[in-house]
Amino acid sequence: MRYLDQETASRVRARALRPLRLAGSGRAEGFHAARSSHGPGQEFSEYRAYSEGDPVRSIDWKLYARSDRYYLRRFSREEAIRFEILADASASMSFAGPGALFSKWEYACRFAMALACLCLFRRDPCGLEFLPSGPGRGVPRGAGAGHLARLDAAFAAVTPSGAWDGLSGLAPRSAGGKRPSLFFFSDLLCGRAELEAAARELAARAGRCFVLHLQDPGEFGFPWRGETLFSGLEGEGRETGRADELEGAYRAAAARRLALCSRLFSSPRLSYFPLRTDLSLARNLDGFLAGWLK
Amino acid sequence: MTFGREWALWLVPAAFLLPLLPRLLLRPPRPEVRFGAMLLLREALARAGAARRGRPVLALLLRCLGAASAAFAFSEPVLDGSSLPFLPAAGRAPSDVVILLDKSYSMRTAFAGGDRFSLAAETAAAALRSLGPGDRAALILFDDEVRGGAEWGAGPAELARLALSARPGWGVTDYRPALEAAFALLSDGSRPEARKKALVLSDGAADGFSRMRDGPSALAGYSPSFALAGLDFPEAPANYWAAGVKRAGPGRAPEATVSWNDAARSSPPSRISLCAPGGTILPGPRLRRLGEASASAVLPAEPPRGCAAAGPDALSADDRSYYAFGGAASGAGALVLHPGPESPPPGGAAYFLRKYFSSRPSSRGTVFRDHGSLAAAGEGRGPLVLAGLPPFSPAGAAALGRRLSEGGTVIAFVSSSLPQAGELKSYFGLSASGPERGAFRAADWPADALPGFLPSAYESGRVSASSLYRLAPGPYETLLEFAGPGGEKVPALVRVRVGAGLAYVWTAGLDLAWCDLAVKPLFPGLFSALLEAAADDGYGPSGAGAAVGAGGAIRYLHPPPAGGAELRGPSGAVERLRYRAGAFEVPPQEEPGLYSWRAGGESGFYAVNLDHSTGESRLLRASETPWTRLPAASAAEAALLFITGVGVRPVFLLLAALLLSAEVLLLGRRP
Repeated sequence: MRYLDQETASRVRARALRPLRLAGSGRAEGFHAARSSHGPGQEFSEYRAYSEGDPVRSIDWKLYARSDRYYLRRFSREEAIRFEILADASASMSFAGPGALFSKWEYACRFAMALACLCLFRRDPCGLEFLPSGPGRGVPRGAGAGHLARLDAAFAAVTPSGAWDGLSGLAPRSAGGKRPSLFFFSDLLCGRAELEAAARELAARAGRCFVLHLQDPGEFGFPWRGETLFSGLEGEGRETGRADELEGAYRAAAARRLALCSRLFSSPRLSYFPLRTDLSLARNLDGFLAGWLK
Repeated sequence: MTFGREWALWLVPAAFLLPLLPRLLLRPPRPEVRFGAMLLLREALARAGAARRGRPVLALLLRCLGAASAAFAFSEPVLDGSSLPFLPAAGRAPSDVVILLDKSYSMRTAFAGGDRFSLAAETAAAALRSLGPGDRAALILFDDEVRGGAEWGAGPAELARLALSARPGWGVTDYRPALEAAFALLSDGSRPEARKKALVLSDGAADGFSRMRDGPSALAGYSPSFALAGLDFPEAPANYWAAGVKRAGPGRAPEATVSWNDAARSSPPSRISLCAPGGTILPGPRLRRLGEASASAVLPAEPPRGCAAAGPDALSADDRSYYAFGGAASGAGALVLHPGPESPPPGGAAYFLRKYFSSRPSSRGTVFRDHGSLAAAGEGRGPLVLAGLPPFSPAGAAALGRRLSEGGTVIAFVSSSLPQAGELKSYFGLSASGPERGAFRAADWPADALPGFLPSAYESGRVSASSLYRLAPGPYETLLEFAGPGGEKVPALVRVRVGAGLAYVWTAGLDLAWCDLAVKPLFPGLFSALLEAAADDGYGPSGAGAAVGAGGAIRYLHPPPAGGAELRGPSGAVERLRYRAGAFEVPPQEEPGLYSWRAGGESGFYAVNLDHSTGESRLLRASETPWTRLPAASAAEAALLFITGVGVRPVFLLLAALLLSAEVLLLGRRP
């Protein structure tokens, strides 16, 4: 596969063999076992005192023989968590500055494929959508054999283009259904209003959303010197200036932008994680998994 | 505003554009970055502000203005009174300006990549161009006399052209006539309101003040209201000059003298150079120190013409000294007449004279057997040598008389064969008695009796005579004497002027029967000296040469050649010479060098040299000058300042420094 190598796959599968809990849930249900569901299942969960209306076949007769009371045996069922990968495929994601290992887009693809591998190994269905959205660009949620390859092919078929237009193009969320967990990959290079709208939309759309902020070292370190012509990847026009003279002001603007993103995308439903493209994939992956999935 | 270097104004736009050229022509390629975070970039640009974005443009502008300001300062700007109303009213008053431009040869001294005269001429042009419409100017070219100008009327532009086209001459400096001419102009009462100014563009040579010991106030036309200013050159550079070439006597090797000024005292030249025919400079003999500031060297005897050179140095114009001695003349030889026979027997005067000429091919002489040939040989121009004084035919006597009256020279040896007192009287005006028999011996023959005749006491004491004609006192000059039997002195060789000519008379004859002079070792020397003296003083052509600016003459007696005579100068220019009173007149020559003359079949050389007696070559500055001294290093600016107003070059230099410093500070600050 183009965006998933054996080493990365082995790394995430080794991680998946351990009981993984969603940070803060304290439960071990499935890969992300976000919530439990009582009823027919494979594993004993607890006893509960019988009350009228309970199915009689659930009574533990052996316990009744020992205690002369009616108790029901309850079993927990491993419930698959639905995951959705949402990738920003605007033109700015194709940028790769000096020092970057990959372009932001390629880095996001590789990181997303690693997470998808982890989900599918745990038999959690995983879907894929792109921003801006378009007909036939995404991959419906699935967990079967070959789904990982379909995801990889979908990534490979997309070339970042166009400008950020927010999350408005996404399919409307299903009413009353369980909301999926979202991995949102983006460089978050849009206006403050659009960022705020995106944060609201993500919080409403996802049960839990991990915002993975792609950060190119060139875009945040501004390493150019001398008279330089900058042309926008998303058709924002051109700007000329002495890069060394602009460096200070630019870095300050970048720091403000990071602080804003961190603040907007940190809430009970939203988790913010910066992905620096000059760091190795394994390092970022370990950091992400260690920090948010325990 | 006026400018000392008006041409340098062209540098101002060039200097302004110069910093732009690398930016325009050598502009480094501007890299293009396809950038994702234009949002952040625009935010940074907005915060950087327009002032920061315009900083490079501002720095470039400062650099351009600084360079232009420096170039403007280089043009030596001077603010005149008309452009600055707060200047004293005197600055705006009309001026009468007389510029005195020294063209003496000391102005040829090297200075600042050119010579002093070039600087003076450019200064004169700058000063003249700075004059306003209400001003009046005159230009006086001078050395030891006024050489041009000295009148109002010409426009400043015309005078500037005249100054720039002038070249220094070969004369010496004398400020008196030039200053008197300037004062005469400034004393003109037609413009009493005008300020009177004289600008002396000279090197202030000390020798130029030899005729104005009492200062300028003693000169005609002087007024204390005249403003005087002049150039002030630095101390004299080292200078050597060939002071002259002399020869102690005929046949002697010439000796050159080299002198130098105080500045060259620490490193006098060790060797002299010789100018070979064609102008090639050859290393010459080593110099022998004569004194603190002079040395001499003995030059080769042949050729008898050329030049000796010292230097090169700061003033190369005076390095050479040209010489051409009498032997250079060709075509004129001595004419010897004797009474015969054709082959004179040994012991007689004719015998010894023929032997003399036959043993010395370089001494040209024609020996005729018959005294009667004198009339026919009248065309000859060498000295006439008479071996005996027979009574000539009337035609012969007339030819001899004409020869003497026209300046010819005769060397006469009386004969023992016939009484000749009458001939001595009739031909030369000498009263003689004799012949007188006795024992006569040479008496203390002086060394300077004849140029080049230097007998030792031993040699002269061995000459004796047994018979001679005793001359009565008369208008003759005794060159050599015999001591008679009683110790009394009697003339042996006398020189007497006959008409325009000269006669040398030997009173004892050359026959061995009368005198043993002809068989003594000193005879060839004595006879050579006689011939040389005759050639120089008398009938033969000679061109001794003269100093620059002084006329001379090439003696050439009647009749002059049909084609006349011509003189060819060092530059190749040929001029015809006018014949008058037995000589071709050589007009004053303005250029030193070796001139060649040609008259008929004869030719010779004529040397013209600088007159070193004035001390011009010493390049000595006068310690006191009657004018305010202006530094030569900034002559034009100082002259403009003197004439028109205030120099503002330092202001623009300071402005350039400030602008360039501001640019450095601007670029040095990080954004």
